[in-house]
Parts: sequence; structure tokens; C-alpha cells
Amino acid sequence: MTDERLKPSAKTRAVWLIAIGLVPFVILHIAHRLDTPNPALDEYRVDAMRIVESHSSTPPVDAQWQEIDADTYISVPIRRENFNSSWLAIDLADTARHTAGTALYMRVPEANVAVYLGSQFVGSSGSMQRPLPFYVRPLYFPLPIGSEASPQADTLYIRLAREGGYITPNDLFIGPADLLGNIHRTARFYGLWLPAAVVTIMLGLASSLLILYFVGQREFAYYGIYGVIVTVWSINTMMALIDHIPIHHWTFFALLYLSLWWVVLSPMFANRFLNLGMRRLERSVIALGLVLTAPLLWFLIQHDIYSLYLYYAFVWVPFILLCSLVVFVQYAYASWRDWSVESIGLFIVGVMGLVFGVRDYLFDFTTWIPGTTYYIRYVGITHIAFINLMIVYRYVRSSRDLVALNNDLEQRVQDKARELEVGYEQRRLFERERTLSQERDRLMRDMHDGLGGQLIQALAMSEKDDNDKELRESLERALIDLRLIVDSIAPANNELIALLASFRHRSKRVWERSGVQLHWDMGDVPATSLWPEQTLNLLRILQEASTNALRHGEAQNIAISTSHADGRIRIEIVDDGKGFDPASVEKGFGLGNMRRRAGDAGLELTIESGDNGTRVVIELPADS
Amino acid sequence: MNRLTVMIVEDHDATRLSLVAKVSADPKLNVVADVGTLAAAKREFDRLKPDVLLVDLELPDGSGTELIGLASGQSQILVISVFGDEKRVVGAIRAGASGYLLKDDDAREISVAIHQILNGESPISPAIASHLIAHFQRNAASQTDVSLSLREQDVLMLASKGYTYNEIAELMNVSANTVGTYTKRIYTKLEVNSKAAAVYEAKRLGLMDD
Repeated sequence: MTDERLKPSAKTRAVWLIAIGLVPFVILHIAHRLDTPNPALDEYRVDAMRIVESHSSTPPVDAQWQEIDADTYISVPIRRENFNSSWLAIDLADTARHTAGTALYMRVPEANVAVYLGSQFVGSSGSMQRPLPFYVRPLYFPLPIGSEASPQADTLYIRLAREGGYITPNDLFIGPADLLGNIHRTARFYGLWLPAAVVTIMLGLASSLLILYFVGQREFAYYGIYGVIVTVWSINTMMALIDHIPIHHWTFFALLYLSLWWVVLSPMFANRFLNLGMRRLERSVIALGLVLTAPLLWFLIQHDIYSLYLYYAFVWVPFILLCSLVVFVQYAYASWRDWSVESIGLFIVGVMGLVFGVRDYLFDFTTWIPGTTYYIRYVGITHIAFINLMIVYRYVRSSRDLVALNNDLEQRVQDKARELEVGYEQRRLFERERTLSQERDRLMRDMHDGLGGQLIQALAMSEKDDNDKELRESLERALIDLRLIVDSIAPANNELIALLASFRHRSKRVWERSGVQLHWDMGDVPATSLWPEQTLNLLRILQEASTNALRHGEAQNIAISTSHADGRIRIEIVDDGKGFDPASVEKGFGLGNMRRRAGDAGLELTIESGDNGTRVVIELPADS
Repeated sequence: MNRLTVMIVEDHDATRLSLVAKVSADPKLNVVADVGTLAAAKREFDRLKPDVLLVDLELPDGSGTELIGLASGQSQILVISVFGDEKRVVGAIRAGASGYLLKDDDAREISVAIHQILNGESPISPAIASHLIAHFQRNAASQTDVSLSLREQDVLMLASKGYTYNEIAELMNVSANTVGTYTKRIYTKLEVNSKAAAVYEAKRLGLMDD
């Protein structure tokens, strides 16, 4: 994956990773700088108010109100079965707020709200009969102050409804509708629409990956794990986006807490995706996750919100942070090992997850952390978007590999085809030899029993009568001729030398009788394929040439030799006889026959003759 | 003078008579029997046990190869053939023959061939030499087979190229008789190998106990 030569030393890599690991702290710092409340808002903050716990569905004007300061923690009593409800009253009389064009802005309501101006209903975040557990979306209500309907209203009533826990009413603002509306819109964009858009895209991707995994890519388990993680994470993020929850709020709680499983699954994904081989770690994290989920479900079923809250804050979230730590270590190890863009990118995201997770935890349970909202969801987005990019990159790379593989395969198919062609050629030659061999067997059988046997018998009969010398010679020639034909279909006749050898052997008696000295010199020659017809023509040319030398040339010596050069094979028959004039002498010498046969057989024939003898050269191509 | 006994097996009458005449021309050879069928040949062979057996392969009542198998080791055997083609000759050598004659060989050639055989030499033709080279190459990997010596391989190679015994002797720096002896040894190895192969095959098929 990574070129080993480009990898710096282990120490250098470690130092670099530590340096890179500081990047998320810088990001966090920048985030805190950006996430300070708009200073323009300070002027419009509501500092003092009154409170009363009441389930009244309209403002309980005559209740026992208690004066409080904005930074007061309001403890909402924990009850089973139902939600809690408190009313806040904000005095608008005698202030600059009591003018037309004023609005109420609630940055993090932490509860469901209903707003009344005097007795007039202004608006609500949703149903008060089934409030959301944590309503963290910013709310904005333009106040109809000075309108016809409520000319006398000088008190703003806000009903807060939720399951229990603490509320700090320190982010209520009443001021000019233009300014607060703008701030509200910006907050909604970053807090709602952006995550919503990302979640939508992620869900699409997650389903594609899950389909990919289930349809055919089972060997890449990380596709499946990643799909599950993204889906679970999307559920987690969606909590902040839903206005009206169509399920029971305890089920909603269950989903909210269990959706953190996306972090529990992350070590498994990192292990598979980066090929870390940490199967035991992977299994341990999952097993611990399952064990710790059991009490969570138990408290949810029991509707024991107090235990649930404690368990969530002190066991479940720390465990989730532990999982982040594991992922961080995995990414750090992979970066150190591979030193690839992929692993280093994930390492940065891993550090971000850890840093932002701890920050959110402290933000939730302490007052030490600045900022107004949770950051982990942005890490989630970054994390998942980066992995997504990497998966796309891997996909592209494997497609490219596939193309290369295809080309390679094509090349191999071509090679194979060529091999087959060669094999076919060999097979063709083999078949030819086999056919010739069978044909020859048949012919030999016939000849032995028939023509050959008869010729021998005729010859034997002619021997009784010494006077019939001519008949005997004629029969002998016929027999020699028959043997030439038989030899011409010898299966090994692509070995030219074997053919010449047989020719010499067959004519042994002729040579012996003539008393001529035969010089036999068979130089090695390459193989050449001759069909029986060509072979017979070659044999007859040899026969004619040697007969000429013996009969007409009165030679003392004849040399027959073979040689080869430049892919051509050469057979030379040289004698030291009288020679002849090739132009004038034709008939008796059978030169015309020789030329015709050479032409038929595709042989190149040269005949030179002079006082010192005759030279016949036969040339033929070797097999390529 | 103690003449060598010869038996001739050939079904064509004229050819057989011609052979008898040619063999008889040699004063050292005595034709004790000449027959035209396999049955008669077997009978006469058992009775006479000739020194030399001349056999045609194609007989009206069977193959001469059968007779060669029976006579192997008891007589010197020459196959008589129209063409001296490698298929028939090699088949006969496997069965136990030591050489071959052409049916139209003259008296001198026949006499030379018979004396060569008795002298422990065997004739060879280029076609037979080629055939044997291929045979021994094919079976080189087999462990049961007897392989050829380098000198024997040289003889086969030169014979396959058409060189005569005299020329081979000159090229190899040995006497012509030695070349003939090499050939005879090659034939014996071929016979041994074919018998070993037959035994192996029989054992494989369960026709024979170990």
C-alpha cells in the first residue's frame, strides 16, 4: 500500500504523529472562539424572573411565584410515568422590551416550551402532552406586544416541560426581532439544517454500502460494519432534528442512548478497515458493550430515570469515551505502521473524537467548558465523511486494479491462444505422422501378401533360367521402385537424413555391383516436413542422378552430402565422371524428368556438368 | 565336415525354392527342412532343432513370430521379409530374432548374413536404427528397462544416417565385426526389455504371481 522507501524512521513517524495529534486541540480552540454568544445578545439577556412548578395548561397567574436569578439551576423533580412542568414569568413592564417588534429567543431550551403573552398564547415547540426529553434546538417567538389582541399584557409566561433533571434558564433573550431572528436563523443552520443534510446523505451512503455488503462483497466486512455505524449514528443525530416524536418517550430515550453504539462498533470497523488483526480487542469491546447495555435497558424498562441518569453519566458515556480511546489507539498504530494518507487522516479524526468527546462530557456535567453546544456530532460528520472518502478511494483503486487485471488476463488469454496454436500445429504434425503410419501399415500388408510377394516370386522363378537376364533385371528394378514408394511414406520422412539413409540402403546392391566408391557425408540438417508425394519426387531425383552418374558418366567416385545454411537444406551429388552438356543432352539422362519432379515437389534443382564431372544440387526449405 | 543345419519357413513355393538354392550354394550350410506352414514348421523345428532358422512372418496358418518365440535361445533366427521394414523386423527381434534377410537377397548376401549371425553379429538398416533410437529414448525413464551404452547409441545414430558397418567402424575406430556385435547386443537388450515389459504387464493384470 505504502512504498517502504518513502517511510521515515520509526522515531520520526512517532514525533510527527504527536505533532499531528495536536491539530484537533487547535480546532477545538477555534471552535470555542467561534462558539461564543454574540456579544450583541448580552444586552437582551433576561437576568431575573419568577418560577413556579405547575401542571396548569394556562399561565397560573395566582400561584406562589418564587423570584430567581437567570443562572439558577432549576431542579426539576424526577417522576415516573409523567413529565414535569414549571412556569417562568418574565416582567415586561417598564422596560425597553415592552415595545412593538420584540421577540423571544431561547438558545438551548433544554425542555419543551409553550409561550404566553399575558393570557394570549404565542407559540410552542410542540405538544405539551408528550414533550421531548431534551429539547435543545433554538427557539424564536416574535411577541405581539402592543397588538390589538393584548394591549395590556406586560408579563411573559413560559411553560417548561420535561422529564426531569436540571434546567438553567440563562439563555433567554428578549430584544429586537430583526437581530434575534438573524441569530436564530444562523443557529438553526449550523445546529439543524447542516446536520440534517449530512445525515440524509450519510443514510443514502449507508444503505448503498449495506446493499453492497449483502449483495456480494461479504469479504469486505467493513462495508457492512460501516453501514451499520452510519445508520446508528444517523439515528443519534436525528434526535436533535425531530419536532414531534411518534413513539413513546421511553422508547425515544432507549434509542438515544443505544445510538451511541456507533462508537462501540468503531473499533471493529477500524480493525477491519485498516487490517490491524486485532480480533480479540474487537470482540472484547463488543462484549463489554453488550454487558454495559443490559443495565441501561433495565433502567429504561423500569422507567427509573434517576438510576438511568446516573448510569448514563458515570458508566455509559465514559465507556463510549473508552471506545473512542481504543479507536484513537488503533488509528495511531495504523498511521505509525502504514504512514499512509488514509491512516493519518483517520488518526486526526480519531484524536478529534477523543478530544471533543471529553470536552462534551465535561461540558455536560461541569461548568468549566465554554461554548454553547455539543461538538461531538461535528466530529461524527467529519469522521464518517472521511471514511466515506476513503472507501470511495478504495473502490476507485480496486476498479483500477480490476482494469489492470483484465488487461493482464487478456494478455494471458492471448498467450494461451498462441500456445494452443502451437499445440495445434504439433498435433497436426502428429496426426499426419499417425495417418502416414497407418496408411503405410496397410500398404505394407498389401504389398507383402500381394505385389511384393508376387514380384519376389517372379524374380525367384526367373532365376531358374539364366538366359532371361533382362526379365530379372526388370523385375529387380520394379522391386527397387516399389521399395522407393514404400519408403516415401515412411512416417519419419521429415527427417531428411533418414530418408537419404534408406535410399542408400535400398540401392546397396546397385552400388556394390557398379564398383564405384561412394563417399557418404551426412551433415546435420534441421527438420523439414515433406508430403509423401514430395518425398517420392525427391527419391526419384536422387535415383535418376545416381543412375546417370553410374550408367553414363563412368564415374570412379560419387559423393553424396548434406548441409544447411540460412534456413535452406542442401543435398549435393558430385561425381568425377565424363560429364555432359546439359543443354544438348536431354533424353537419355532424364534431366527433363528431374526438373519436372523438382518443380512438382517445390525443390530447387541445379545441375552443373563439365569435363571434371557432374554436380547436382537439390535445395529445399527447412521447417521454420 | 560338420555342416550347419538350416531350416527355411516360407509359404511361396518359388521363393522358398529360390532361398533353398541360395542357402545350399554355401558348402558350409545344409538345408535340413523347408516348409510352407506354421504347423509344419513347429513340428519340424521340434524334431530337427536346426542351427539356423529363416522365417517368413506371414504364413497361411499364423504368424512366424510365434515360431520365433518357440525357437528363441535354441537357434539363430533370421526373419525373411520383402521390405525389411522396421515394424516387422523389430517385432521379430522383440520375439527373439537376431536379424533379417530380404527375400531377394542373393546367395552371397544370404551366406554373409547367416555367418554374421553365427559369429554374434547382427545386420541393421537405417529405418530399424531410427526406430530403435526412438524406442530406447521413449523408455529411458523406465527403471526396469536395460538402457544402451554410449557406444551402442553411437552405432544406432550412425546406422540411422545410412553409414555402413565399415564406415561406422572407421568413424568409431573399431573393427567392422565389433559394430555387428554392438548391434546384436542392442537387439538382445530390446528382447530383454520386451520380455520384462510383458512380465510387468502380466503382473499388473494379475495374470502372473510375483
